[in-house]
Amino acid sequence: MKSFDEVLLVDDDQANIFLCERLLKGTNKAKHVVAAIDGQEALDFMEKGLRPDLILLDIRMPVMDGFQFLEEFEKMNLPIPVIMLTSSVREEDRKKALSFKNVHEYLEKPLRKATLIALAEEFGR
Amino acid sequence: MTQDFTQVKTLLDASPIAMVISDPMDKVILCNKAACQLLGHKSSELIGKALTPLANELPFDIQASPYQWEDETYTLSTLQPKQTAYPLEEIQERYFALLEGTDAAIAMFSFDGTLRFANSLAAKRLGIDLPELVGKNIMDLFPTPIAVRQIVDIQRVISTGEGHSYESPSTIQGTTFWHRTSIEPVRNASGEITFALLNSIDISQQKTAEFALKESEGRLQLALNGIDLGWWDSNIKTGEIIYNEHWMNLMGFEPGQNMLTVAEMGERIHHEDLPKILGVIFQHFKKRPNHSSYEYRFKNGNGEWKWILDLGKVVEWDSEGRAVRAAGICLDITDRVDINKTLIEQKRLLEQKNEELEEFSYLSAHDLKSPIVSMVALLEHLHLEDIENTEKEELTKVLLQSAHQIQHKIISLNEIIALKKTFPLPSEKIDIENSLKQVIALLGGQISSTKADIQVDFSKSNALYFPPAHFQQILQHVISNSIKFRRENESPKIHLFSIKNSKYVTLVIQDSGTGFDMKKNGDKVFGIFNRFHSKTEGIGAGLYIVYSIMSHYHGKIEIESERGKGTTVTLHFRENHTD
Repeated sequence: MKSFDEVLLVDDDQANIFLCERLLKGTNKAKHVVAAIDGQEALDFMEKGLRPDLILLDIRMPVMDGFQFLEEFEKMNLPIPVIMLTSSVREEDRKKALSFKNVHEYLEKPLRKATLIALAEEFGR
Repeated sequence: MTQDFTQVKTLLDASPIAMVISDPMDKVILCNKAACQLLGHKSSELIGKALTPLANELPFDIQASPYQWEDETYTLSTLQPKQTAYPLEEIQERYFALLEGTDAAIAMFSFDGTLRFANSLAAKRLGIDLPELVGKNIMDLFPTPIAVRQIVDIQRVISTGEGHSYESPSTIQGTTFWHRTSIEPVRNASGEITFALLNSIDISQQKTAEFALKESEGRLQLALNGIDLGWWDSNIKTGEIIYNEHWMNLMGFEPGQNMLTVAEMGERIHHEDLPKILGVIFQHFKKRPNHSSYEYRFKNGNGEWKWILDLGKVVEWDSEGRAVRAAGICLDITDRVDINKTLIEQKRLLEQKNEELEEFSYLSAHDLKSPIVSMVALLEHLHLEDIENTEKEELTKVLLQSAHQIQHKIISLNEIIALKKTFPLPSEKIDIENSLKQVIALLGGQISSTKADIQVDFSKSNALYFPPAHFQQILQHVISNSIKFRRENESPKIHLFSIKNSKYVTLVIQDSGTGFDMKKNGDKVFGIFNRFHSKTEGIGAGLYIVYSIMSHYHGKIEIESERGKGTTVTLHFRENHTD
């Protein structure tokens, strides 16, 4: 059974952060969970040396959205998988997100237990 | 004997003078070729006949002289046509034959109108047998008005010696015929004019064709004029283009002007359209299609620009394959082009509106869906899991936040929908300061709780034209944002002032708030539900509403902002706004 050491949650929706934290910890799939309220805060964490095993990323956020974060994150050239977790079902958003090399999945909210287990098996240790 | 006469005949045949030799019994024994020709008989038919009765019957002058041969005295007679009677008769015969052979009705009249001669066709036309016709007076042959006119013409021709011709209709048994009549003088041997010769040709078919052509041309002209269509005919070598008068009138040129040179056209065709036209003409010369068409702007005689549709072709090429003459039609399509332009602009606006509406619908749906999805998941979590009370409290708090988000978004959506329904409201002269006072009263709670400091300077202009309700809505959202996004632990400072120029009254609203990163958010600043602050309440509808109002009334809005330093909103209201 694989799991993550550290997962970075990037979402301005407090409810989603609350749910993901509970799920990750409740299933023992993450030892540590770090939450960033927007792309800028997430980027600040990364610049300060945060190296999670997985990033769960929303698209529509204030200050810096998911796409802007991915543009900056890509420049850091880190082999960290990013899973989009969003309410947007727009095809153009899905295509754009998957065009970033770190993005592996495009998931619709909310994150389900089964999906998380599958993600851990694929990207965890 | 016979041989001797044969030799004589050979000699006589060589002579152009008609000669006959007769024996003492007056019998013809030899007749030369000229005589046979003159008498109209073969030599064999004449030999043996008595010469004297034959000669008396014929209109010849005969000069006889004795001719001595082998002791016999013969008579050598030379025959010459009588100087008067014979030539005239011959001429008459020839003329009769000629006159009968033509398809013209011919009649010859004397000065008093007596018909002296007519051909069969004339008799047929008049409906009288030819022998009965000669000797009748013209007054008996035609209805009086025609007869009088003809006798006057006849007498004038005989008096003056100058011919005359005319075309006239006549109705015979209900059918109208057209004739071309010419009256020419006839002179006698001494050159005196004795008769007038009437020559009448039936030109009914020609006239019918002419009338049909005229009628057709008339109809064509009516049709061209009816739809304001022009035609042109261009001599390519001289560079002259002839237009129909109606078209030139339509194009505002002076009456009587029906020509433009290629050089003049070059000056009147819009410079952007000229290369296109030259391209079409060049291709026409090269490929010789059935016709070529092009649209261009043309400066008419009044200096106005008109859109013209031209269809033309080269109608004549020279032996070396060069175009000589071209012709075509032209139509003023300015109205159609204007309508097209309006339709294209309306289509563009509709597409823009449609895109905006789609974006609005999508974002509204997305931003409402997002907290609802979270709420459902939270409720599932609350319901299914065995959780502690502290976690329950936390969960309820998060649930309440999501519920508030939905509530605020729905309120904003209602405001936006209601706002768009009110467009457009009539503009009125607004007292900016008074209007601001009303907004401050509405935001009283926010202002007092945050101790907001609002400074104003409307000395440059305190008036503008705008719908008052919408102006207040703008102020309310901009000032509310300035208060909402104030710096932590600081009272918001807001400075409002106005500027005026010839086109706009400009209202500037500066605050000392948190500001935001224009580089990252500049393109999203007026989008619905776009937020620029993560840790502050707000759902991102205020600037969208301000932008919607300003753009609807053709105003302008600019935003400058810097993180940590504040935001400046500049609103340009059109001066003398009349919408």
